[in-house]
Amino acid sequence: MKRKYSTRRRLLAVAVGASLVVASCGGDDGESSSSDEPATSAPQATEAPSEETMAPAEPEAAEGCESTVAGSELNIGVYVPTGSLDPLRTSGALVGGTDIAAIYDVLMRWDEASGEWVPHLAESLESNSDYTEWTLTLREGVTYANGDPMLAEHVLANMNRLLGPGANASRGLIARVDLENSTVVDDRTVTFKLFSPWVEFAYLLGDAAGMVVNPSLGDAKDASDVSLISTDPNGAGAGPYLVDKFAPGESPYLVLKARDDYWGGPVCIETVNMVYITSDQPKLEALDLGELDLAFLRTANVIADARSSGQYSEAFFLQSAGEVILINNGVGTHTPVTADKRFRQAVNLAIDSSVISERAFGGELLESKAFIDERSTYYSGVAGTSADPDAARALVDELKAEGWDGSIRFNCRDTNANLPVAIVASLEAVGMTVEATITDQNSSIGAVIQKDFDMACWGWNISDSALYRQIGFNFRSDSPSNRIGYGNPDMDAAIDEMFAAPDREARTNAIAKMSEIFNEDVPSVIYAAVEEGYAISDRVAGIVPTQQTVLLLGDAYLVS
Amino acid sequence: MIRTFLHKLLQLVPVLLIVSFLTLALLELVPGDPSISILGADAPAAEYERVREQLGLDQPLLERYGNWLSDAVSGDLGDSAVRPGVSVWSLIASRLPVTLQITVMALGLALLVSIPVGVAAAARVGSRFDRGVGTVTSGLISIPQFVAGLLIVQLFVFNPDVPRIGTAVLLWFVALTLLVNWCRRFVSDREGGAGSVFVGCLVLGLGLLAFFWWPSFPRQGFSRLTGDDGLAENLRTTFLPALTVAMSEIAVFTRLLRSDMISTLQEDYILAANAQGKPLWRILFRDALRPSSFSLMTVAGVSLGRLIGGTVIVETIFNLPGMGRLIIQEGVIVNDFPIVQGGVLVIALFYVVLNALVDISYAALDPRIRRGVV
Repeated sequence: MKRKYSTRRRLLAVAVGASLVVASCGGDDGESSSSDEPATSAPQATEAPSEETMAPAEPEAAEGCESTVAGSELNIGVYVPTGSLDPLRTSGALVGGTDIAAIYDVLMRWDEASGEWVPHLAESLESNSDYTEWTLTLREGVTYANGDPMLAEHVLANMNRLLGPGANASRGLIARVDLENSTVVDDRTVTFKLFSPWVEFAYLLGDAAGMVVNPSLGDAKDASDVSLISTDPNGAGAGPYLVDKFAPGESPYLVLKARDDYWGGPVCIETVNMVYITSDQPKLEALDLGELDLAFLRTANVIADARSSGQYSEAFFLQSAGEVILINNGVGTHTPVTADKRFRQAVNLAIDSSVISERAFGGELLESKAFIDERSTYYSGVAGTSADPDAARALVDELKAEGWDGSIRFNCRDTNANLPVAIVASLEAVGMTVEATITDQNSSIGAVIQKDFDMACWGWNISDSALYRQIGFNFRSDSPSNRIGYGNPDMDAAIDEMFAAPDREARTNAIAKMSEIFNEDVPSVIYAAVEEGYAISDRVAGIVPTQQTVLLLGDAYLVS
Repeated sequence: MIRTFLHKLLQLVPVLLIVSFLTLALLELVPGDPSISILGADAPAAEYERVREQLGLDQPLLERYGNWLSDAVSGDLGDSAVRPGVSVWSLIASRLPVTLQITVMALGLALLVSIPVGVAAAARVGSRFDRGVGTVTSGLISIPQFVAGLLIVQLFVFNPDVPRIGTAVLLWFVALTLLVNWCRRFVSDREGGAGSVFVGCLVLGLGLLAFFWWPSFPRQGFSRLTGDDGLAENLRTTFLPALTVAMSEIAVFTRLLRSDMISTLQEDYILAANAQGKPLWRILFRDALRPSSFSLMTVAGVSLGRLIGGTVIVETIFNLPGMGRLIIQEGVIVNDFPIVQGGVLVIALFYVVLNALVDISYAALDPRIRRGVV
């Protein structure tokens, strides 16, 4: 018996020793010994980068290309996959913005470096002196993917299309355009008349209204009355890519193939794969392994990890008021006290951004209680209100003395379990009794849309490129997207002033007024800005970011 | 046997009716609104009402169920509520093969490992090997699937040398054991053992293959069998998910088979076979394994049905377009009730059919059942 066990131990030792000898004579450090060719859909794993890894040397590469590089692929990990490829049915830049822009292109694009809108598919956009009339000229020779020429009248038709039944949120801004009196001057020129001055009218042409749909295909529907371009938009867009495969839920869910007749010249990358990975950490891991070339990130600590690796360039966008405790100002079903400004002030004083950051975001939150975050190019110098639990408690006691029992409802999403806990703890520390309902994101949004809430986790996401949209939507008293019933004629006037502001300084002054009104009225409580966008592998160059995390891929190329 | 199978299939009808109605009723209790999934948070209030009307959400529950049932009977599971124009059948048809492949691979892997290990543990009951197997299987059962998945990712994706060298060492150890045993038989002039040489060389070759040609596994993604990249790429993207699912199944099957084998090995006919001088491997695998397999077959069959609907965690970790993600992430979370109903219906169908097949397999395994003696 002893001899038997002894023999086995010897054999095991021989096996281990042999493997160590072979390993020491084996391949290079850290590299896989597999002889597999890299797969197109799941590239070979490479060593995960460490913080100590030096940033790679600048590779030598020619910019752009003379023709599409056969076999080249770009893998993009998105935030949320779109369920439709029709601009009419998309619900925002985060959901399929880059996908749609790749198919339809945009008339105007946001230039982050200069902080201005510049023509993209358009040749020029000029206004009259009071910004109530804008003349758009298209580039010559722009065609849709089926060869039809893009005409100026299509731009007007597209705006009308976006007013039809459907999802698109641009409708509220399109309502500022007097479409009836807007005119087509010639095949390439259209003049828009506006009901009121709007200095950054270009924003509209950088959003869904600027993603022009070929009218000969845009109205085609199937037997279920669903637009055909929702799933097969080929021929309907003038963008650099055609749809090769659209299969929501699959991986990739969207495969795009380069056009060979794009107005912008050769499209360098032949195939673009859009991949949906549910959360940011595995997305970053896939980026580290080379399975993705771009990864959309929104989680503060994951963004910090991506930055600390030093491996990636970035296209991140700051969103002021990215994390908000939305408070019902007096619409629908609500506890009456929420309509009282003192209650909202109490909540504002109770919430300490640094506490929430530590407890719920690992200390990585972009702490900010300002209407427009200090990191924004439009920061006006008006800061938010600092936390003061004693003052908050005094206000709560005052309200209780007037008959309020101290209880309040609070809805929050379940995506970060620590967030509602941190908020509830802060509010209960000043004497409130919080009835918290933690649900999925849709239900949380639903309660707000149905106006059956007191307080809710929310985000206004006011980026520099989408000031008009976000501020106009959420704070104008007559906006259908004003969920909380907030109304202040001074705020409306300041918003109008912003729309009419002729330059950045005037815009910032208008924002300063809005910030002060916001701090006074406290329609809701802001506790953080949010950063979101793409970490980009050094394998890729030529990506052009535009408004609200949308990327333009027409000039992208692989560095080799 | 055919009559039994048909009788089992008849049970399908009431089961599917109950399952489909309960699914719809439970969906009513799930908070959320599909119109928000379709329109997002910024649409005017009237748009949400319009979409809810289009989806028939303003109708009473029984009326909606009746409409759905009348279509389902004719084979039409309807379109996705959130993605109009996309039929539920087409979604299920594209996702079911993914889940089936992972499930079948996992069960195959589990049986491949659990049968020899369970048999060996039963043959060496009380030994250090048996105790080691018990400890390892207890550990595997205790690890939640999502933890197992993340551990496997860390090991196979971010530290591939560890499983590569570990697998090679294990295979070389087994090969050397077999070859040394054959050598001892040869030196002591005993007959037989040629099979050991063959198997030993085979295992040695596998060890070398594992060491020098260990594939690199992706962190996420799936390549279809029918895709351009073929079988090799498909196996590369499905191995780790299958291994994750197989971990707990290996533990359960091993312990189950070991228990049944220990009982069977106490039988008189085993003693008689031993006395006749039959080789141990023949007694274990030919005489004892078959009658010990009933529980294993039952559990494996039930596991197959359970896993078809229970792989959502693995599908999420490895980003696989399977049934779990379809029903949970694209169905329940966004309140796309046609997807949930259609998906649950298909899974219930599989369950009943699989159970019927498991019952029939008893007759194949046990001639006493086949001949109606028992």
